[in-house]
Amino acid sequence: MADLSLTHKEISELSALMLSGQVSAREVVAAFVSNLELHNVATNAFIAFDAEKALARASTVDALRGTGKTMGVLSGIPLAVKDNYLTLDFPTTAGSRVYDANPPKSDARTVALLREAGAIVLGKTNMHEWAYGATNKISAKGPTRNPWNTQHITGGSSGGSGAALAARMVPAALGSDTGGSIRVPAAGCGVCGIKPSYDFVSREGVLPLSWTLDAAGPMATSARDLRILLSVMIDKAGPGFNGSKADKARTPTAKRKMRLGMPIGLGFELANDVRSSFESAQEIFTDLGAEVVPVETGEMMEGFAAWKTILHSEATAFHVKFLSERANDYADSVRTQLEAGRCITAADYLNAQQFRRGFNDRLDVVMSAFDAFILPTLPVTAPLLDEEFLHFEGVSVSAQDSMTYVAWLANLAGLPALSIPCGFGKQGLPVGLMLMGRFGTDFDLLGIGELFQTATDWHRRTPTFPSHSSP
Amino acid sequence: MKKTPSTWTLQSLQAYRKSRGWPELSSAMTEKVVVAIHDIQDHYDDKVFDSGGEPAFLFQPMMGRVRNNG
Repeated sequence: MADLSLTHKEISELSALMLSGQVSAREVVAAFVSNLELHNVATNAFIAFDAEKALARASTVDALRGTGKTMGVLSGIPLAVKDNYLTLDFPTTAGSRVYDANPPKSDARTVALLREAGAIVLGKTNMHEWAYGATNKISAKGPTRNPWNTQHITGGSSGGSGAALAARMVPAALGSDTGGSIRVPAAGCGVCGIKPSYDFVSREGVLPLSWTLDAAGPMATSARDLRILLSVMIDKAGPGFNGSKADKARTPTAKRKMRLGMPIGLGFELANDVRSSFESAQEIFTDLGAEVVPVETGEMMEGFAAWKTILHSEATAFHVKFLSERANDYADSVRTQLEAGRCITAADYLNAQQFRRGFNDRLDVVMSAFDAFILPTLPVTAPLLDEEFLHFEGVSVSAQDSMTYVAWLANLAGLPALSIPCGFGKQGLPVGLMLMGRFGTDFDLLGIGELFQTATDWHRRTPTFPSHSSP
Repeated sequence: MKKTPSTWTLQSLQAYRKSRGWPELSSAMTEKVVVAIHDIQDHYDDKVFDSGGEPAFLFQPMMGRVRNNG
């Protein structure tokens, strides 16, 4: 009988237990596999997994450890991989019927780095088809359901990874983020995720949505675990990496008062229950010695227009060949967006990129006065699966647009952004807090997240199954 | 801020696709695509989509920015 208490431990705790010989890697993997087998039917988080193979790899780790060999920092840690990362041992479909590639010649670069560090890939997680949507309702393998209440969406497009973490089927997962696709399901499912600075993590072997907006990144149950994962994933040979800055996280201390900018105004509207949790989070930061300062960023509507134009142009460019050969294999909603992208002119795309350049410079000037921006990841908690429109603070938006409502900002600007849990809404669904920093401050953000999690336990809460109705 | 709503219609989309040799869409799909284009382009305004005579630099300057600020 597997020890399910192991599934409530963080990566560092599991590693310590394995290192001291109190627990074997096989016992760790068996515990998470038990949860997967218990909860995957209800959530549809994994679309492919191989328990036997994972257990066999765990036994190999145990045998190696017995020889006294130096082990990687993730030895024996089960990992879920979003279905748009190429993997040697599982098919990669991007949640679609369009892409059924022959086995790749190698793993995605990031998957290879994590395996080298000892992680054990348990399987591939469900995603919004081609990552072209943030609800995870649209997938060739069916919708992903939120472990906190299976009548609700997870948020996407890395919704399978979010659900797998929330249900403690794995302690670590991979996501990708073009307009919030790591942070949105992290917030919707009550777990943690970071969209790294642009190009900090290799996208080699990750099927793209929009290559100047995309980021690959880790998801986990705590900011501390994200630090461990990101340290392994960072592409030290990549064009965005600057070792001196990345290696020295400036964790705020009592010596220097932390300043957090809180964007306000048009584009930052919120539902009341999310506002309540967000205000409590601000108070916690104040109690921790931070100063929270409201700040006008401006140009949100213009930035959103530029983001949408770039996203649609680049996504369609990637899909032109598939569109001509297999158009009918796309989900209707995804094909609609791709066909719409064909109508954007080159001039509009170039002007959007040009605007982006100035927008990012102006945003950087505003952000330079702060350690980070603090904002809610989502303006609402995860909508019902059949909910099409949401209304809050005088605005009415589609479920899709509510998911990317503020998250797109970090992608347009190429900035790091972290989502961590900060409470629950009136339906008992998690609320996410987003911290966004200047370029290259990924580990500083994680430091702020870790500080918040020393004062709160939202990240340790787990759903109770069966979770078919609101608690 | 001057907004310029998209001018795409069912007819103009069909004609455009025909001129490019792209397959005909069902009428339901054509309608959805027009709505989607408007959803993107109705947000357009002169601030974003008029470069003011400056050349658009696209990606390379952004990569430069990444390197400089990294």
